[in-house]
Amino acid sequence: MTRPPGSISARTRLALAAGRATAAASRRLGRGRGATVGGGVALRIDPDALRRLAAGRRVALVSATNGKSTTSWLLAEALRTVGAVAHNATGANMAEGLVTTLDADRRAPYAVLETDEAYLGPIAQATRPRAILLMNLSRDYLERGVRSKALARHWQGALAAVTWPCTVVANADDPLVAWAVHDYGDVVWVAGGMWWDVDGEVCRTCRVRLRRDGADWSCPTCGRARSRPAWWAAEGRVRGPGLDLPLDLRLPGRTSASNALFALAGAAALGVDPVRALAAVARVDDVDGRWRPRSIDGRVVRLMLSKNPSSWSEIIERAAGGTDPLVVVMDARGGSGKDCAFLWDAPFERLAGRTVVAAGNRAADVALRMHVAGLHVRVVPDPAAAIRSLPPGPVDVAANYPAFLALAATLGG
Amino acid sequence: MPQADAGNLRVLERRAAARGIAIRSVTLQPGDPLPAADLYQVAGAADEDLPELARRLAAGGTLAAAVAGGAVLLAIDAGLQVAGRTFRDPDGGEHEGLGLLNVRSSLGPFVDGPVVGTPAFAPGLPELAGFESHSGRSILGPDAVPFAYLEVGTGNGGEPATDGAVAGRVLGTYVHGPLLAWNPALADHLLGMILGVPLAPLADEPGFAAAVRARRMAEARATLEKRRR
Repeated sequence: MTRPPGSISARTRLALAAGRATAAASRRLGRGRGATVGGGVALRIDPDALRRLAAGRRVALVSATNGKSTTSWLLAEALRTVGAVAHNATGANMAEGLVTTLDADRRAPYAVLETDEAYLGPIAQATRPRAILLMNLSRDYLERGVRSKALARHWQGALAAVTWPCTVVANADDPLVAWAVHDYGDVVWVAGGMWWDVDGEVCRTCRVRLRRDGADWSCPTCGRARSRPAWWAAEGRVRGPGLDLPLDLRLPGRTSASNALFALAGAAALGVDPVRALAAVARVDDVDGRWRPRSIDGRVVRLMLSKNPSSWSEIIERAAGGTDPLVVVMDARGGSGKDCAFLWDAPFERLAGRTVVAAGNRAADVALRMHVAGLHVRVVPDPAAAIRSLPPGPVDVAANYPAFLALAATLGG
Repeated sequence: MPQADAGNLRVLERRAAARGIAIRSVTLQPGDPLPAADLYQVAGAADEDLPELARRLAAGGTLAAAVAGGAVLLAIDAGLQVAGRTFRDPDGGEHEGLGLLNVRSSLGPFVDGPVVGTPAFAPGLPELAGFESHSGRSILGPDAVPFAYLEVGTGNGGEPATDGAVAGRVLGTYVHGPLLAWNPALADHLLGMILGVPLAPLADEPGFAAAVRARRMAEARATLEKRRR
């Protein structure tokens, strides 16, 4: 790997040009941002394009079922304190999207690649990262048929095939992540939190219930236990190897704090001074439009993406801690939301007695779930009308992916 | 208890509470002792975990004894497979099940999609609406009663299409969904089995379950119609 970033063969150049043309055509046809389809064309012409584009760069991969977009965004900001960074900020996180990302920024010496959890193995082999951040494995959409335990096995295999110097930054609090990372040598543990622990309660080796004592966990049979974290946050401060700094983020919530810890540990693994990295991470106030406040007729909307029981737990936690009204929007569109079953795995019982407005073309599913959980429900299928049905002031809106995209467009970006 | 099946317990609790009856439910993890209960739900598990699930449920004979003593068993997906006479692991190895249902199960291609059918084990129950998400296939023994005859869905995987099996107070099905949220009459039927008396319908239901049922059954039939054309 002696070539500098950006120097590639004629075949790869041809492949990438074809990919860019396809992406542009896709954008003109209004079929999305074009990253995935364009990269796909390039990879068909040159299957080695990803390896060639990544060669010579310092690469970090970020994978998880929850929080990989935010964390990769924070890590990219941290690395920008020392150099240019290629980053798949649009969230196209399979090989096709990564080709498009790296092609768009050939000279950046750093790359932060949010990586789909099911493709970690091939993407790691192609990009030979210096750091891999593995944050959590929670159950994702039921209907995708992807199982967190199968993903843990995939991660284990992906790490076993790493033959170059690479630091794995892993969540000590998630037993399934710890299981996947167990046999790997160069690991930095982060106290990344675990707020949806049904999937992690059982030792994957012995299949017995784990013992828990606060954040610590251990298997009574094989003795595997939570590793002592090198990075953790407590009382508004971040503690890392030889450092103790105030953690004063502009992004709200406990998951943002966890994401920031991973970004700092990842930046440190790539040699960035944690003080500079933290200053950059703390300044971030938006991630791809997700945290931008939007308003509609005097209602100040906080739009939250709810994609699995883990993200629901976060939304419910936030709702339980405040009094702002809640609108839940579920749409079935394409493959997403066709069964809405994961509503039943989230602890809405915590909000019993509150009022919720159910919206979207799956409003009846939302209403049924909320009714069973003991909430008062109003059904207003049109999401904008649902928001306007509430008095002016702050409104929390939780939406599944298709509903989130539609509402973000309605409310302006 | 993955795949939304915990929702079944929330529905039973809610519908019992609406009648002034308190239900306490506990979720068990592998290794936890099986407590005495009026109803047990054994739901989805990864295919590779089937033999371990069967071994633990068979240990000590507690579950079989509870069923013999009158407890209701709702066995969903993995639960259905291990409650039968035999089942297979992902490598094809055959294992003894609990023998509570007269079925033999194996694993086939993963299916997920809507289910519409008619309950086969109790007269007067309305149509079954649900969602399946499984790899299991089950062959019913002679004279075994299916849980439902299917109009839409894969269920046990045979022709004509049936789902699950029922023997006395043991009900096995592949329907997730969650089953009892989409089928409140079935939830009441189970509560009636526990209490020993049929329950009168609830008076002031908000109609959310009816709306979900109507929409899902219409979608399922439209999909089936499209496939046939």
